[in-house]
Amino acid sequence: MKSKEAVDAVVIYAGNSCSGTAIGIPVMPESPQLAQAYVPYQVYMGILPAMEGLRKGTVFPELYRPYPSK
Amino acid sequence: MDERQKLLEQIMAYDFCMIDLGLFLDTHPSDANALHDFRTCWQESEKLRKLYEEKYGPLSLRHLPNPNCWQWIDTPWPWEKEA
Repeated sequence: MKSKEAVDAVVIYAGNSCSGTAIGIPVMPESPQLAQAYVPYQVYMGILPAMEGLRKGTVFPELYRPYPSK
Repeated sequence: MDERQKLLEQIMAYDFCMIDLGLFLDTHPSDANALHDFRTCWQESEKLRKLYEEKYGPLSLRHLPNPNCWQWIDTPWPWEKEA
C-alpha cells in the first residue's frame, strides 16, 4: 500500500453550484483500505474535437487507451 | 460520403460529445469548463440539426415542421441509406 504522502492530495469541487454549496473530493481516498477498490476522481482537462471523440469512443483524451495492436 | 451523410455524422459526433460530457457532469455538476463545453456541443448539435432538417427533412418526430402533413415518410427509411 502507498504511504499517505504518496496519495494524490488534489481536491476539486463537486457540489452542484445551482442547488447547494460546493464540496471538496480528493482524487483518491487519503487512507485507502486493503481489499477495497477505488476509482480516481477525474479532473477536467478539456475534450477532443467532436468527430475525433466519436471515432475514439470517448471525448476525454485521458480516457483513450486503445489496446496495442499486435 | 455524400453531403447528407457527412452532416449526419457531424450531428452524431456532437450528440456523442453531449452524452460523454453529460456522464462527466453527473459526478462534476459544477465544473464550469465542462458546463461551458457541454453548452457549446449542444449549440453546435442544434445548429447542424436545423441545417440538416431544412435540407433533408426531419430527423425525429420532435421537429416536424408542418403540422398539416406527415413529412416523416417523405425521407428515406433507414434501410434506404443510399436513396
